[in-house]
Amino acid sequence: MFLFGFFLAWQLHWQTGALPPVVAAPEGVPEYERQIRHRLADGSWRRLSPGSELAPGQVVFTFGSKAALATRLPGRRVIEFFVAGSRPLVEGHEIVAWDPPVGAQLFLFNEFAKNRGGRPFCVLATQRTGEWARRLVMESSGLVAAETVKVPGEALKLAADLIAGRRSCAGVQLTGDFEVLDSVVLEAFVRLQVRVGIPVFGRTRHEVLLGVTAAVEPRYESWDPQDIRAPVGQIFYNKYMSMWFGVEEITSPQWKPQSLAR
Amino acid sequence: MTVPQEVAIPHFRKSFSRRILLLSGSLSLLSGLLVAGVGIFVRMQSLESSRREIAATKARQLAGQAAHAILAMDDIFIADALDEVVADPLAGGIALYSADGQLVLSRHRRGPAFPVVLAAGGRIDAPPSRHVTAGYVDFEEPVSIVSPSAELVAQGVPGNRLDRNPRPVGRLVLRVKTRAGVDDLRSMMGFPLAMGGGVFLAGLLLAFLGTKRVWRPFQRILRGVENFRAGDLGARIQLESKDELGHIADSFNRLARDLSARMEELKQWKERLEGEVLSQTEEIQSTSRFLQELISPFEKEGETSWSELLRLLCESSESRSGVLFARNSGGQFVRIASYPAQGPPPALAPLDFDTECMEVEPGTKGVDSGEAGALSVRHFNLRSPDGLGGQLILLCPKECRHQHYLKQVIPALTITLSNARAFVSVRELVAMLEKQNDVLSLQKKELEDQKNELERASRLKSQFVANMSHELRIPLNAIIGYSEMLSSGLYGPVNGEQTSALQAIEESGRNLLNLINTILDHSRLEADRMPVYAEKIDDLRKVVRETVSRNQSITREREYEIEVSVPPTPVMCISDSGKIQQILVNLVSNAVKFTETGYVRVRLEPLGDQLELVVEDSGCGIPESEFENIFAEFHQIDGSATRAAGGTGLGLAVSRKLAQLIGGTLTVASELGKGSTFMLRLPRRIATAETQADSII
Repeated sequence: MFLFGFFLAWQLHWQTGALPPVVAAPEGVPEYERQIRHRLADGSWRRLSPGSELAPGQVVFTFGSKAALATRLPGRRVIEFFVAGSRPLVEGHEIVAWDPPVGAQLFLFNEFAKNRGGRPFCVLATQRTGEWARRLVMESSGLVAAETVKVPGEALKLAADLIAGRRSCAGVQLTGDFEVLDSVVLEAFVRLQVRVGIPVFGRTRHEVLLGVTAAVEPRYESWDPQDIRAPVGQIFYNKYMSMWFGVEEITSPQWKPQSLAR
Repeated sequence: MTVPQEVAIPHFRKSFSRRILLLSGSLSLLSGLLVAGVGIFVRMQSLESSRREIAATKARQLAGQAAHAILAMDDIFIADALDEVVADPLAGGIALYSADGQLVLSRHRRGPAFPVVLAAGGRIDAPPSRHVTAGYVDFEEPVSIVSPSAELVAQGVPGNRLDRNPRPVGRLVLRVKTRAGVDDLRSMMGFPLAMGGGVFLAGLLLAFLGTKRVWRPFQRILRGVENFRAGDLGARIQLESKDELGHIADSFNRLARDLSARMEELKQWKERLEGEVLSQTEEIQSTSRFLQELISPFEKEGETSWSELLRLLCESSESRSGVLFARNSGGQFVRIASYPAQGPPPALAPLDFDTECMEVEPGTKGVDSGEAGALSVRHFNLRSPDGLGGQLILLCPKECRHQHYLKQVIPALTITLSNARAFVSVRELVAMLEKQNDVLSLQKKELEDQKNELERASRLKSQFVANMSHELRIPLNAIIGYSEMLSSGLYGPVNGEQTSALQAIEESGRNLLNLINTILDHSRLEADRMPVYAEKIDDLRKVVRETVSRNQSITREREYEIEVSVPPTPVMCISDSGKIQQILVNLVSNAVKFTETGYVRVRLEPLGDQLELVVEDSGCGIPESEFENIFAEFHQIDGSATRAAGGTGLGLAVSRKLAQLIGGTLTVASELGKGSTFMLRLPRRIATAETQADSII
């Protein structure tokens, strides 16, 4: 019995490992394409297309919230990538949280904490990303405070309060929940940096290129469904903005900071 | 030939050059003002346009930044920008409306307040618009936002591949006053005014130079005209120009040449006409003398001197001799004048012809053989509307140059002849009428004498009657008085037969006395010797009542009494109460006399300024044909009743004359068999007694 059981488990593992994962991702997104293109080319992945037959046990990867929400395959293992938060967007899916390492984030805050005057860094959190924010606050020893918002309007209100001086903080870390962080909120916080004089941190290098001061970009290093690991992080920063906030240069062997400038 | 002196050009107060200068100057001024006005207008328009563009740009810029403020409902995102906008003195305010049209944020400085809800029908995604609100312009801009997926942005999708469609989130209203005001005008008018002034000065300079150039040929024309006007007929305008002025100068020169030639012709005509006028004047004077001679006899009412007339006519027409014939009542021609007056009359006999004039060859008698061929005999019929009145015969030259003169004077001569005939007829008629007038005057004088004689006889008769009546009354009174005394027993007792005899004597005496009184009154009236005694009668009612009462006895043989009806209040008047009583007694006694049974009523009624006394009876009445006759003297209606009643026939005549004497009238109305009504109408105040009455009152 033991042997039979071992055989079945091996067989399942073999079959699973043998079948290429199917990827559901919007086309033309550079970050996604960087991961997908060569794997599709060598046949290790397949793109999920309408009407395509899926083999039993074949794993489906979804990239981004749109693909995750669009993929409804009950009874099949679906793993959501590039979605922030500890919970999947769709019930039944698995998620590999697209959250940066807490250590990297704290490192970044510490770099900009010289002139904070006792004010904490504010982390914009949502219900789905609250867990990551809570961990960040817990490990920051008072450096960070979380601000939970539910809709973009609340995020904008926070920005207005900061500009008006009704509230204050040493910097703002934007959320990775794109249901709250829409382009309007992003633009508002980008403008806030200059008006209030506090740095705003994003999540990807593209946001840095768009105007935020710095970001710790989560990066998946393992795509094996059997070996799912949290992403590592890399710091990207706008050196001119950083210099304006008193940070000449960021160096870290671990988080490999990279200066970007528009 | 003397060269006329150069004439100075007159000075005109409103000269042409001055007018041109004024006109040009005015046009320059207008141009300057126009340039300045246009400049100011353009600058103002430009300013307003710039303001509108700036405001629109600001609105557009603010709309690009306002999305966050609308979405966050917090103006902090664009507070500075809003403050900057509303700090502009021209800005009225700015407002932000949300997607559902509600006012989210506003900055209001001046002007009307923003509505809390976007205007009805206003859509937030409508294209930019502008409209005027109470002097302000509202610039509306849709507030949109481009919101590509932040996730895709974060994952590095290039911007050109992202969804860039704008999404309307609200609307921005920027209220600005764009209209330029007085301050703007003041600040902007400097340059246009300077430009206008420059245009004016330049125009003025050009006008001055141009006027001088235009005026020069006018000066030449004026000089030429003035010289010509001053009498220099050889004066010409020296102007070599091909324009309108040159044409005028050329025309003037031609006109001056023509005028000179015409004036020369006129001069010759004038001399010729003067000669003719002199000749005509002589002829007119002759005619005038002749006509004067024709008229003078009538003015002097004397005889017409036909010889003198003929002499004037022959001398004026250069005739050798002439004879004037007139036709008598028998149609025979009778010579009434001849020329020459001395010596035997010319041998010229009248002819019978129908035309006005006839010319015949003269006979040899009385004419020189040398002149016979140059003379002719002209017969002129003097024909008036009554027929041929006479004939004039002249021995005159064949080539008579006084035909016109003869044509004028012969009709006058005809009329004079006719007038002379009429004058003689009228004179004869007047003589006859004067004779008849003398006869009539004699007859008139005889008639007047007879009339005076008759009047005198009438007066004597009246006087005689009056005297005789007076003489009769005295013994009659004695008869009546003694009869009364005898019958009353003063001279002893009388028996019944004696009493009745005495009463008969008394009654007959009284009747006779009444008769005499009446005749006496009539005589006085006839002789105008009846006096009127005006007095103030305090109450005429009393007079009437007493009169009737005194005469009530006359009804003793009747079955009725005289009824008196008077007004309830006193009736005052100024009149002769005696005359009134006398008239009343006459009327009442007449009424009683002719009324056997029935009634006799006396009624007094005031009628304004008059009084009416009416005596009414139910007697036998008077036929209508006798209404006027009964007032005639000695007239009585023929009938048994009147005969039986007796009387003189003077009562009513005397009554009417008495009524007239005191200014009243007496009339009658009657119906045969039913009765009569006599109405005495009197004035309240008789005219002849006014002075006396006033003194009485």
